[in-house]
Amino acid sequence: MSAVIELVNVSKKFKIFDRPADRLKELLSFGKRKYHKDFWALKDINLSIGKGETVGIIGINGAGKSTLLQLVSGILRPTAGSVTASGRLATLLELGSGFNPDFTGRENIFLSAGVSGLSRRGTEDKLDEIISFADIGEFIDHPVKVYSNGMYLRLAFAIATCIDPDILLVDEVLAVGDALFQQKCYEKIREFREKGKTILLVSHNTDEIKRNAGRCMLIESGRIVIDDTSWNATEFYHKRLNEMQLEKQKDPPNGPANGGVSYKTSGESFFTGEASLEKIEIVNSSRQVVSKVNQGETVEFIVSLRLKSDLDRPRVGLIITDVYGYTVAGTNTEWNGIDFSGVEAEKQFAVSFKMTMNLKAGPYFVTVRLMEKNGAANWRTVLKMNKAKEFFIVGEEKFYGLTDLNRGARLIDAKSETKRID
Amino acid sequence: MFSVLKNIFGHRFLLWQFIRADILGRYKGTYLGILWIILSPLLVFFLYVFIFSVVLKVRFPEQEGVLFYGLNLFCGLIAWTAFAESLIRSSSVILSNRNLVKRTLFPSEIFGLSMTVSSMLRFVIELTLFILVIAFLKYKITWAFCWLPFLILLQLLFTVSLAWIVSALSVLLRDLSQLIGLLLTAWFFMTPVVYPESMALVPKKWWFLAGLIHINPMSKFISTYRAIVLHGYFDFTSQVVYLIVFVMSLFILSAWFFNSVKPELVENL
Repeated sequence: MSAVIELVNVSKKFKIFDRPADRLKELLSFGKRKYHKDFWALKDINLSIGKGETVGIIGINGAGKSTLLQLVSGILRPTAGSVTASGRLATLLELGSGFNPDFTGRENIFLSAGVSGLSRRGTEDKLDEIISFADIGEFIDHPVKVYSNGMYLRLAFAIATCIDPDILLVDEVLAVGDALFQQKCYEKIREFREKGKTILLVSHNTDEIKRNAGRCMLIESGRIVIDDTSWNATEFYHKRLNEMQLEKQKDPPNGPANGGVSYKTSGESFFTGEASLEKIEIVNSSRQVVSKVNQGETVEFIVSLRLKSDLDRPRVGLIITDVYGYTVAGTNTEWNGIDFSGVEAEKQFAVSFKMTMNLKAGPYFVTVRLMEKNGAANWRTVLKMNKAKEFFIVGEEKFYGLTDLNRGARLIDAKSETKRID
Repeated sequence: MFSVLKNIFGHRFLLWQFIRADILGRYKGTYLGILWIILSPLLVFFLYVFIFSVVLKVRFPEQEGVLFYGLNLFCGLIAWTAFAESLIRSSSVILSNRNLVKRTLFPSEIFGLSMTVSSMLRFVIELTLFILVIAFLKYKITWAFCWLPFLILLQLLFTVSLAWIVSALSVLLRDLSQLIGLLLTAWFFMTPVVYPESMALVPKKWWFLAGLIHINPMSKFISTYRAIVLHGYFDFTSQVVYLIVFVMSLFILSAWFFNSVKPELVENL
C-alpha cells in the first residue's frame, strides 16, 4: 500500500509575542534579537497513511490535532521535516470558516470549489449534487451569515465530499449536525472508504472514531503517543484521561495542607480532600479483573477508598453512564443497608457493588460518589469522580434502547385474543 | 514570480468571482446602484473644480478656462482614485477574510489582485465615458488612443505590485491600515492631479519634493493619459521607457516579496 499522506520528522513551531510591538521590534532588528517565545505545537511527527485508510485523531484541547491537519492540508508549512499529501484535498476545518459570509450559499459553492482548483464547468456539473446533499432548501440563495451551525455544516460537508477529493480532512465539525444528517455523513464517509479515499478525522467523540475509523492516533503535547487500532487507541485515551484526573485529585493545587478543608472541582468531578479514590475494579464471576463485560453477565464493581478524616455515617454511590452522559443505572451503600461504623481514617477500605449487565453493547463509564450525613435529611458530597473508569459491554444481543428489560416475544392467536377483550 | 502567476492562473475562476462579488456588492442596497460608479467621481470632481479652479484659480498652461482645467482634473482624478482605492482596500482585505486564509488553501494573491482589477475596471468605464464627453466637445480622437489599453495594463501592474506589498504588510504590521490613508494623501499632493505637472516648480530648498513628483510613476501615468486624451498625441519617450522598467522591476520584486511572506501570513492572523 503506497502512502498518500506522509510526514517525516515533522515539527511545527509558533512564535508567541507578548505584545504586537515586539513583532515589529524583531522585524526591525533583522534577526539580531529575539523578542518571541517558542511554542512547539508538534514535535518529531512521523506518519504514513495509505490509500483508503480512515484514521482518527484524538487528544485533549491544545494537543496539536488541528495543527496537524493544517500541516497536512498545506495551509501551514512545517518548521522542520517534510509533509507530502498527494491528490485533491478537501478540508472541513472549523465550521463555516471556508465561506465568505456575505456570499450566498450558491456563491460559496463556487468559491470553495474554486479554492480547491475546480473550474467553473466542473463546479456547475456538481452543483445539483451539492445542493441536494446539503438539503437546506431556499437558504441556498441566502447569504451564509444568516445560516445556523447545522446549515453551515450541511453545506460545507456537501461541498467537501461532492468535489470528489482524494483526501478528506475533517476537524471536529460533525457533532453539530442533527442525527439524520450525521447518519448521512457517516454513510458518505463509508462510501469514501469503499472508493479507496483517505480520510483524517479529528474528534472528541471516541464513539464516532470507533465507528468510522479503523486506525487511530492519540496526540499529547505535540507528539503521537499511540498509533493503533481505534479500539486500542480510544481505550488508552480514556485511561490517560482518568490518570490525569486522578493526578489532579491526588495533588490538588491548594490542597488541605493549609489547614482546613478546601473544595476543588475538576470538570464535573468534585473533592474536598477528606478522602481519596484509590481504584475501581470490575471483577467477573470467575474472579478476573476485566474491562470488557459480556451482555447479561453479573459482575462486581469494587471501589477502593481511603478516608483522610472520620466521616459521620458516610455512603458510597456508584453510577453507570453511557457515552452520552445519560445515567443508565446506579445504587449506593445506604440503600443496600451497609454500615460503615468500622471504617477508620487513614485506612483503605473497599465496597463491592453487584450488577447484572443487561445493556446494549458499547462503552460505559463508572462515576463514584462519597457522601456524608449532614443533618437529618441532607447529604454532603466529600468526593465525586466523574467517569472514573470506562468499561465495555460486548455481545451481539439484539434489542432496542439501552437495556433489554428481560425481553421476550411470542406469537399468539390474534382472533381469540380480540374476542376475549370484546 | 512565476509561482505567483501560476497560482493566479490556476485560480482564475476564483479571481473572477471575487471581482464580480466586489463590484456587485459595493453598490448593493444603495438607491442609485451602479450609477455610483460615475456619480462618486463626478461629485469629487465638482468639489475640486470649485475649490481649485474657481476659488484658487489654478489653470493649465496650454489653454485657459475652467472647462479645460476641469477636463484635466477629471482625467487625473479617475486614474488616481483607481490607484488609491485599490491600496486602501488592500490594506484590510486579508484581515477581513482571515477565515479563508487560515482554514483553507486560499491563494491570497487573489485579494490584492481582485481589489486592483475591480478598481481598474471602474476606471475603464469612467475613462470610456470621459472619451465620449471629449468627442462630444469636438476634441480629436487619434491613433494615439490605441496606447490607452497598454497604459492601463501598466498601471494595473503597478497598482497590484503595491497592493500585494500593502496587503501582506497590513497583516504583519497592523498599524499600516491606519497609516495608509495618510500616506496616500501625501502621495496625492506629490502627484499632479489638481495641478499641472509644469506647476510643480517648488522652491529650491524643497528640491527633493520636485524630484519625488517627477520620479513618481503616477505622475507619468496621469501626464500620459492627459497627453493622449486631451491633446491626441503619444510619444514613446524616455519617460515611458522609465515607466515600463520601473513597473516591471517593482512587479517582480513584489511577487517575490509576497511569495516569501505568504507562509507568515497564516501564522500572524
